Amino acid sequence: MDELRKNKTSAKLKNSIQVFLGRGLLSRICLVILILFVMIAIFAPYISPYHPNIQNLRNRLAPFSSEHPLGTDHLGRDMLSRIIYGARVSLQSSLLAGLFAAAIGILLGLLSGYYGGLLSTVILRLSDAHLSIPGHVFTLSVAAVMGGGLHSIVIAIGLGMIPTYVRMMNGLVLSCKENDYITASLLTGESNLKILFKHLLPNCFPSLIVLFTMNLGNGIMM
Amino acid sequence: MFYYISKKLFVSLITLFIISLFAFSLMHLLPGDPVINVLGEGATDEDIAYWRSYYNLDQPILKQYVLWVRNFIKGDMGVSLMYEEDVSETLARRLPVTLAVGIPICIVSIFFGILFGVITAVKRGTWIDQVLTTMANIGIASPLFWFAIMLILIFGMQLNILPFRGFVAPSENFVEYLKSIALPVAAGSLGFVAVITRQTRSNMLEVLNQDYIRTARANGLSEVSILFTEALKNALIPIITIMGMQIRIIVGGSIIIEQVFSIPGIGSWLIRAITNRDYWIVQACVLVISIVTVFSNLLVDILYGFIDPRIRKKWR
Amino acid sequence: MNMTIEQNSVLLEVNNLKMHFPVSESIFSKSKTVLKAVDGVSFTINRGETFGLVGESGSVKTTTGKCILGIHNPTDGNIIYNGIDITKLSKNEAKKFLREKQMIFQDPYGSLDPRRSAFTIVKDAIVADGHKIPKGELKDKVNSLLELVELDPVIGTRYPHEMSGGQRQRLGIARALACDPKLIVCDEPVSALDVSIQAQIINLFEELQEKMKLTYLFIAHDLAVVRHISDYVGVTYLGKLVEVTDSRELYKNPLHPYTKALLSAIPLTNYEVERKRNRIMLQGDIPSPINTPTGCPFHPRCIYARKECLTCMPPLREISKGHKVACHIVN
Ligand SMILES: Nc1ncnc2c1ncn2[C@@H]1O[C@H](COP(=O)(O)OP(=O)(O)O)[C@@H](O)[C@H]1O
Ligand SMILES: [Mg+2]
Repeated sequence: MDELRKNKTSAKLKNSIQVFLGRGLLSRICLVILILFVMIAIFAPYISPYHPNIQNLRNRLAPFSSEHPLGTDHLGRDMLSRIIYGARVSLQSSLLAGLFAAAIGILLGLLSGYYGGLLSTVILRLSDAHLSIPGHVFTLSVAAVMGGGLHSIVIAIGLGMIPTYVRMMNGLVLSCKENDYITASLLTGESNLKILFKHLLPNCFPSLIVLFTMNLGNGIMM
Repeated sequence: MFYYISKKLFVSLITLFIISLFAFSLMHLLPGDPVINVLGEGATDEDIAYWRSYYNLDQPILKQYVLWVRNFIKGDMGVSLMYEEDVSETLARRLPVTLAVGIPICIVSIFFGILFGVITAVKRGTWIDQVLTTMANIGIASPLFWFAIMLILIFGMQLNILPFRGFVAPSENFVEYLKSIALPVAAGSLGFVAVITRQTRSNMLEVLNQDYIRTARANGLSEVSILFTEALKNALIPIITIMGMQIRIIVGGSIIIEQVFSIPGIGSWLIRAITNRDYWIVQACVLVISIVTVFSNLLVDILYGFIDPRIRKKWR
Repeated sequence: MNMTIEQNSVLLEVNNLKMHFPVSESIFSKSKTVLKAVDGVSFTINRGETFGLVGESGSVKTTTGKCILGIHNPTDGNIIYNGIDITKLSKNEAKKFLREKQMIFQDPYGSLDPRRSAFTIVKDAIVADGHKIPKGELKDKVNSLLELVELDPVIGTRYPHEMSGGQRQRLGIARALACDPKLIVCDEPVSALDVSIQAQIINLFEELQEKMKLTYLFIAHDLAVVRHISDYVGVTYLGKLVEVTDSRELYKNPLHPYTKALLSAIPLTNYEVERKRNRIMLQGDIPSPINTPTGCPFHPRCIYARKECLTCMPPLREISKGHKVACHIVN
């Protein structure tokens, strides 16, 4: 029985990978770039030839050379190492920001979609207003108010991504709660908490994963 | 239709109210006193007291908000402590610059986006389609600032044919104005062109396959008139939706464009204010930029109501 | 007849039930249209009996059932359950009766959470009432419920998409039974199943009714399905009951033209009789409940329609003992 299920899931995985690879050259290139980027970020300390912050004032703004494949910056730091570590920081912070936004946005969307009414109006109006502030303006000003630094940038980017999650989750819940299995759960007297987190959230999850990965890319760009 | 517009207007006003709360609270969420932050520790008590009362900081917070909004509506946005410049005056100087770059970005992107979209849909599967679609995909994926820097490197520094810093007002010298905005507009519209191209292409393909187009063909209407009257009209509805969603991205992007190309608009002003922690300017900029976005969205919504017969009928 | 015994034997009494949905055209426009879904329905169900509710799809059967279950808040009318008017109860008071009334759904797949296994679905229903039950006992209880609906407990590890239609519907029944219900609203429970499975499930319903003294409101869109299981049958058309009687009488002596049409849609097993039979075919579609026809709602499709049918809604009259019809042409 278990054996069978395992075989099935692995077959499913294989199938979806095949479908993905069959989607053409472009997506294959994208996949390679993505994997490369993540690898570089993870293995930064092993790959980079220098420490990103070691200065060498005698060798400032050096052109490309075998020692410094991408040259050095105005403080004599190795550019290649800095880019490699930069990838790491970018990935880390966008991951963190994404998780932060997802946690808050999903919760708000869940509540607004399930309970509706005034609560929903307030949450949706707020997120609409948020969406009317251009992303860069919002992120920059929040980061500035919080005093700069990586932490505040992560929080600012995260705050900026909340409304997309709210909107998406709200819509997902609205359609999901129409399902008969939610009615059935209500009839058995199941608590709202359980319906929210054991039925609605898991059933909305696949679409959320897609949004999360898309936002990850956006987070890196910011 | 009247109900539709008034409802949209009402929602826009609520949105603006929430945004004004946000902009206002930016300064007040901050630890410490903004006046002391700017003047420094060495400021005299007299100075501090003077500026605090100038900005109404000694009033209760609710009153501060009301006064701020009232002054804002009257066009008085105060004086920036940092440079002692009048915020409204500077805004009046910088807003036209931003619009002089932003509006061409919109026009160029919509024109080329729809043009490329129609071409790729009609010539589906040919090399033109493939080249343009691939370019659109690259355009969607590449970050704005990277593309801007590339343009500067190639056209500005290597080929040396276009200016890449500063801005010439159209009233001063129109040819120079066009030259000065060429690169910023190119950089700013790339992503937008790409999005509209893709959207137009898929809508056109869908519409072209529908029965009424086939009927129009069978009735002997010329191919060009089918394309531009029947098909495009129907393909336009989703495109306008996309445009509505893109406006805030264009406005946000203009900040980066202005920064990279040293254009003295609102975007670069905001960045300077943020680095200097010049709260009064940040507040005003956030609010003004958001007002522009909200009203452009309102415009798109109203346009949408006129074009989409379903809405027109529903709201009568 | 002694009134108290009569009172006691009735489990559910529905009086002039109305469920109107507001259909607003716009937030700002003042013209509010109402969709009269359920529009004045009355019937009673005795303990341990089955009331069949029959009508084409769109004749507002599901909504009637959902009002009784408290999923919709009726606009008007009373639902007297076990002697208590549940439409007048507060939310907290209504909770007490919540688990006593269960529903079996038309679409067995849609009524099961695709991300939960069969075992968990039944277990959730058991523990939902808030009582703590030891783990071992819980497992036994789930398994005995699965066996009760003739499912192998091995199936507990499966997910809804790994089960057949009949198995899913059985699982749905097990979930309902987990709440110790008194009344079960079966909303076209077999219409999504293969014909061979339909009989099995109907038999299961009958067995369970006997074993557990259940009361059913059995909804179906054709009279053939409710024939065996129902004690009384109500024929509904556009949110109104047009004929109510016990099921033998209905099949022997249908009075309303709509009932006749529904009955003649059932093919007869005797070929000779079937060939000679004068079938009444229903013309056209059921109208939308937003603009119901004036007078008798059935008149546009009725071959006997008279002048008065266009203007005046016939009341539900008792023609003979226990046989009620709403039709002008029936005497
Ligand atoms: N929540 C609701 N809001 C508005 N209309 C509804 C709602 N629920 C049901 N209806 C309307 O009630 C009518 C009958 O629905 P239903 O009870 O499902 O019929 P049946 O089960 O007989 O097929 C439908 O036309 C539907 O539009
Ligand atoms: Mg139904």
